[in-house]
Amino acid sequence: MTSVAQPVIAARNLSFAFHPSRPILSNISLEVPPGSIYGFLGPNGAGKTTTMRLLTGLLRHPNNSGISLFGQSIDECLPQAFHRMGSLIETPSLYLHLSGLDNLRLLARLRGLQERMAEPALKWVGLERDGQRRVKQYSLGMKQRLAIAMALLSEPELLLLDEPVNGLDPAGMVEMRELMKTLNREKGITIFISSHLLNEVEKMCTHIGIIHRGGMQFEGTMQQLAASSLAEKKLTISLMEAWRWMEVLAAEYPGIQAVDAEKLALTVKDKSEVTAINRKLVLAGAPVYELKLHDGLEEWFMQITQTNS
Amino acid sequence: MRIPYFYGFRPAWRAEWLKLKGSGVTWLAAVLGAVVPLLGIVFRFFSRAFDPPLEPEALRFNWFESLFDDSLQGFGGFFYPLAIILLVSRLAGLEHKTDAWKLIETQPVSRLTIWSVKWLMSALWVAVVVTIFMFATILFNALFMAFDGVPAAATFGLPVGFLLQLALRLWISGLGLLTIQLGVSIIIRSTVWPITIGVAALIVSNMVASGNGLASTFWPYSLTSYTSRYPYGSEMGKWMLPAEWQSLVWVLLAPLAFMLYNYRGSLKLVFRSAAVWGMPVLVLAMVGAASWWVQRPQSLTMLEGRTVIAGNIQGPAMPDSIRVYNASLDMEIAAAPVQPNGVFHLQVPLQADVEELLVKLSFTNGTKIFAGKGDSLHLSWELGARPGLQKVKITGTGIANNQYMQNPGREFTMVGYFLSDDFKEGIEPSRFITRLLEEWEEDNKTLRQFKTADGFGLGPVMRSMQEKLIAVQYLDYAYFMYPAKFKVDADDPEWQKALKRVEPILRQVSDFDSSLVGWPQYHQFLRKWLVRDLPKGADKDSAYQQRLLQQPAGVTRDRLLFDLCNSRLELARDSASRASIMQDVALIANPKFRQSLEVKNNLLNRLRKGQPAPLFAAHLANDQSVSLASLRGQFVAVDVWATWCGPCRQQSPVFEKLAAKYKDQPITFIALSVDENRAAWDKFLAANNPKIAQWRAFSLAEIRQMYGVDAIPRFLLIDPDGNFVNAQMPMPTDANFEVLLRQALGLPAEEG
Repeated sequence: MTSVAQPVIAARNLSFAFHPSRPILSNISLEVPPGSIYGFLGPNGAGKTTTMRLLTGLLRHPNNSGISLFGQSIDECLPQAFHRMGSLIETPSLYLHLSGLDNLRLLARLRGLQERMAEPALKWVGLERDGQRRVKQYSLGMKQRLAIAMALLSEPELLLLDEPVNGLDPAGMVEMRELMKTLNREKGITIFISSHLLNEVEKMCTHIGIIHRGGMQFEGTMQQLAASSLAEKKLTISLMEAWRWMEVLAAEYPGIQAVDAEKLALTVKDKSEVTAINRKLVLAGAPVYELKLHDGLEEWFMQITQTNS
Repeated sequence: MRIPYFYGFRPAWRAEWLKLKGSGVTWLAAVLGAVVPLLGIVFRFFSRAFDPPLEPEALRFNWFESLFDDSLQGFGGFFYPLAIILLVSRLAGLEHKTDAWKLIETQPVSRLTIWSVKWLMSALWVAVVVTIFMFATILFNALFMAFDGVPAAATFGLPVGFLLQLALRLWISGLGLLTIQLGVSIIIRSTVWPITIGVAALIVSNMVASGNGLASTFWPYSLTSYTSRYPYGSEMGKWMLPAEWQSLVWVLLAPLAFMLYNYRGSLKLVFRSAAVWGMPVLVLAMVGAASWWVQRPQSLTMLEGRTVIAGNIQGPAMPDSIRVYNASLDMEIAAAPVQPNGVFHLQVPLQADVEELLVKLSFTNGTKIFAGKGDSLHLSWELGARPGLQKVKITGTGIANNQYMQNPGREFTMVGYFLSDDFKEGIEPSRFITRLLEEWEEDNKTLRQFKTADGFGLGPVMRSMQEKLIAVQYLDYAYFMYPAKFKVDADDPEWQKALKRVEPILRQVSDFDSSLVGWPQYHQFLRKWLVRDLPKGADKDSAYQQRLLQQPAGVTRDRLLFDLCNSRLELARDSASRASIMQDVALIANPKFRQSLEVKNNLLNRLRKGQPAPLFAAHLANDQSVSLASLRGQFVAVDVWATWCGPCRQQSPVFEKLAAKYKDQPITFIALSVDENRAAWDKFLAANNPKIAQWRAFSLAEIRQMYGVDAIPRFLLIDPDGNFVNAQMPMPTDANFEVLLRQALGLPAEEG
């Protein structure tokens, strides 16, 4: 029996390189607890897809990869473990010469399921009227939705999704997000979802892992992220004779600094503190003419994304 | 618990089946399977005006089997391998377009299952192509026959074994190609490139591996072509030909192809570790060893100290004996009876290592075979309804020698063309000799590479002999035929200079090569070669004889002398010149040779016009003795025949018609049977009630000896004094027979 705490996906010190001088992943460790929606966040080229290909065994690790699924090493449990997981990696893989329904039937055969499960699956993703058409004629969004239906067909315990909202319109994105949440809530499906969009992940994930240049930058729950230094918010206060007013806040914010003659900088945990700080300064008679709050996580993420794109 | 290697096989197979829907695979298989039979029928439709008329008396043949003689090569040579390349590319390509590989590779089926299902599905569709080809060939030809008429000699028993074996061999011959193409089509994720590579390899193999070279039983792209060259398969009763075994050897590459697929994307990475090299090295070593085993030179066990010819005869009538002649000596060396079921068996004494023999069945046409010391040859002899209609299949240890001799060298040579009447221009000596040396090399290459369907090459004795005979042929071209045709003087400096270059050919043969003594072409060459220094117009025959006598006495010299006398005797026009030749016969040491020439001379003298026709003992159906002596005072026409002789029965009715036509003339028509089996003759007379006098000779040997009869039917015309008018009349179906008859009777030539 696997204990409740047993992670669905676990990787320890995972490294990978096609060429020794150019490592793609170095010492990645991640743990996806059961029942979580795990956002795997990173800019393009950070190593997300390589990680996902290694997790599914699509890419063969030359040595022991140290990845385990459902508590078993992937070298031992694949391909049998695919019964328990569905995945959609990169662009949707479909048989264009077959109809949408036949694509689902084919998958049902591969997974040893009843072929009649194909039709309800079409309904989940709103393709019930297009089932007989050849996939060749589908739009990009329709193909994406079909691919998700295929990944969900057997109601797996684990769903691996690589950039699932790519190619969807804004309404589709919202729908998709709702679908994920519903699946997670009602069926207890663990979802591992990769994205390069922070707000995408923030809105639905319970856990988050951030990868950058082949290394893990953060891993934890959303709460842990909010509490971490990455999530610290930076407040800059513009006022006359900055050094004079530092004393007012120094007791509460020991990290306060005078950036220049008219600027103070300090970190806050929450927006609500800004009002209190402002009141304190004004009561003390400080001539405040600007308060600026920076979201640390977003700024940091923007920064790494820009340097890589 | 270990996950099975072929995990999820049934689900994967069922899914693969669903993928075919709308994929065009069925159409591809149907079109590529049916295109050759269809083209064949269209071609026959438009060319049937030029076809020879259907031969009613042809050898019986199975209609179904005959269909594949025509269409198989076009199929196996190009369209079948093309079908494999295209089908495999299509089946692998089903996953390429949207990288559906990653879809199936993240399902509960193992990679080995995925690859194996692809292989099996490809193999299944290749089998479908073969089946469609076989059915289409039969169907289209049946339609054509409904339109064009049924060939009279055809039989229509469905040869299930033949069809199944052919289909199976074709399928197997494509499996190696399939494995390699599937490997390529899966690793290179494109549709165009694997097809381009495959078709290029196919075209190259068609150009390079044509002929009997090693390549055609080894190179995976030419194996189907090899199989299609032999619709009847092994001549030695084996299940498969070397090409088909080789195809299975290429299938052994499958683990390697699978490995390349399995590690696709990280191949370089994986092969950096030495442990992974074990499998490919093992696979390649296995393929290498198995190929060596399949391609190794084959040899058959020879007999110790004797040479045996055995076989069986099939035909409308059974001859009663079989005789073997030494072809170059023109001498009988062995004889044996033929069993009523057609089986015969005899030992033959050979003088040389390999000799050309003429095998004759009683009186009918013979067949040439080549036998070496220690050979055991098996002849399957099928007789038709008239002379010349026969098929002899030779197997046994001499199979390669005999097949090579059926078509030695190449069909067309440039040198042969230069020397033919069709070539009207001139050609300088140096250019001629350059070309000659090239073609001499090529002939030698063909000789070295020669193999039978089963992969048997020539024995070392035969090969060295043939090398010498090729040299003899090219020396004849260079030394005699070129100067004769282009009127080159022997001392022409340019010619002399060019001739120096044939030195390497000259080194192959010695002036007096005893190993070639059994070969007539060597005799003919020697007759020119030994006297090549004599001026034009000299008596070359006697000079040749002189020079032979300078050689050491022995079997070789004797045979050459015999051959010279024999050919001179045949060419002599009168008994006086024959008499002078007979004086030279005394120079031959071997009494058998001398005796043979004397018999021949006597026979030739005896059979001349005006010589008395020898009297022989014969009887009528009622046992009353008869003799030619009783027919003096009138002309006698004799038809020498036998009940077992199919061709005789074609001529006899015409002979009888002539008897009726000339019944008022002073001439008697006699049918003289040489049946040894009296009962067969009686039965025939009772059944057919012929209209002319029927005699039967008491002794077949007597007729053979007295009249020099070595084939029947034979027709004689004798004058009222009992002397020959003609001992070798043409066949009655030939108009000349009647012309000669009327001449003898003093009747005017007929109008029209």
